[in-house]
Amino acid sequence: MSRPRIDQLLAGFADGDAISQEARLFRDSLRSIGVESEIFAPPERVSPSLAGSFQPLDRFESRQRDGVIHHYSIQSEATRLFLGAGCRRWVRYHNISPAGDFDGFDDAVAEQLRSARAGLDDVVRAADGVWAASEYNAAEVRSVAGGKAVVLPLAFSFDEFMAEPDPAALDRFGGDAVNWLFMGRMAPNKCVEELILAFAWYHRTMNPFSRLLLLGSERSCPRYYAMLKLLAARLGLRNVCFEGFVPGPVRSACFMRAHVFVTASRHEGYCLPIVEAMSRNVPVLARNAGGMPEAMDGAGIMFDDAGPRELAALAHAAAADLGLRGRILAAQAARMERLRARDLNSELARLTGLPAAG
Amino acid sequence: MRVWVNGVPDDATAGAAAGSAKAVSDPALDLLIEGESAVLELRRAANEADYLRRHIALMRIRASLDPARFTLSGRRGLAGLAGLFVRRVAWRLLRYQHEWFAFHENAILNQLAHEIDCLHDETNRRLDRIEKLLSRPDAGNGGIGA
Repeated sequence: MSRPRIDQLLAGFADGDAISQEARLFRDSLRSIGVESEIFAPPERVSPSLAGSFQPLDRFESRQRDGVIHHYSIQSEATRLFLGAGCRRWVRYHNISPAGDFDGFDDAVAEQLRSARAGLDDVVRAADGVWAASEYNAAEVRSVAGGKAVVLPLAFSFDEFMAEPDPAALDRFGGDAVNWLFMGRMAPNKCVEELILAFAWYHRTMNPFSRLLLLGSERSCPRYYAMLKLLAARLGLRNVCFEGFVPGPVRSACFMRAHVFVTASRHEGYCLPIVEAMSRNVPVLARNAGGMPEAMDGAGIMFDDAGPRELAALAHAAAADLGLRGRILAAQAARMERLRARDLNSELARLTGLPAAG
Repeated sequence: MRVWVNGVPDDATAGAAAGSAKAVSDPALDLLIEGESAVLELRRAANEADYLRRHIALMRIRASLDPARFTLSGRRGLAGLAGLFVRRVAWRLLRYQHEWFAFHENAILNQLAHEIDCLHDETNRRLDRIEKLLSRPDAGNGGIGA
């Protein structure tokens, strides 16, 4: 008897991308429970470093498999193939960024996001099951198409966070300066400009020996990135460091040197960088929005309705108030213990109806 | 502002942060941020063409270096003060060189801004002409034979 087969359909497959990282984990987990599994993605949207670990979308043939998982966050050719697949279908729902945020910055992406939002109902109705990355995402799916969605928190590997730090980056961001760190796609829904304004107040009125490290590819939304650089330049903030996409060792060094991880994002399905910051013992300061409270799960600092000065004062407290910092780090460590106890193999076996091996 | 620490509403931390925020004052930064609000207005662009129009307008307003705005800051302590003194003296000695570089850099930046502005205007004029041609009643026949 041949082994069961469950493949995955993605709109893109990239290094440093949380969805791609999860797809790799799903594939490895499925293989470990005795299921054949491949990742299918459009070749033009695959990082060169991942060239050997995916199949092109045009090789996807739904009759040859028992099930398919579609990671849905934007409309793409993968969605069309998913809707036409003649096998069991599951949607992995990562949420859809607000299209309006991208108007003017990238009209094509804005259109894809609008299509994704409009097509969510069809995708959900076609699926045998919807796995939402957070309760926030699940509630959104239920509001569109009823009670199909179950929560499967975003999967990730702690190993991905543990690269040896790059000595040059350690040296560059060392010294006695306080480092604020943000990592993520440089996209308009992340509201990085609010961080820059808050940092301007912090740097000029609270601590001139400080840096804001911004880690994330400019390719996500180049016009938005240009706006951020223009803002930092015009405010004369030489210590705002636009690092772009950085490899694991540099990322490790930045986290090691960070005094606080800050995000002012207004829309997140989950926000994996929060978890990475917690795993590296960096206090997290995040807006109480989207799926971020679930990613934080009772650890770190959340804020709402904070202006730039208030955000600066909060970051200052998180970095310098030792009592507050100690309380936060203890809660974050407990949060990490809960995450380490997770068993992805069993979760996938239960959701797909397969017996878990071992 | 509302604040939650470890998942629990924390009015004390929120109050302390709000108090610290009120206590800081930097009128020059207030003015600077207000003056640069046009950059943040790029978020309001309705589409890419509108973004480009706004961006070019920003370039037109300011595309130059001003060495007079450059500030020198030093580290804490006596060594920091001494270092700051040395750098201030060096900066003054090199003042004419800075201005020479800034003058030439600004000449190039202004040329570039002017060229981009002209290209943008020219592109818009061409698009207008094409739209007018397409809106003619005989456009359906490729503009032939009417």
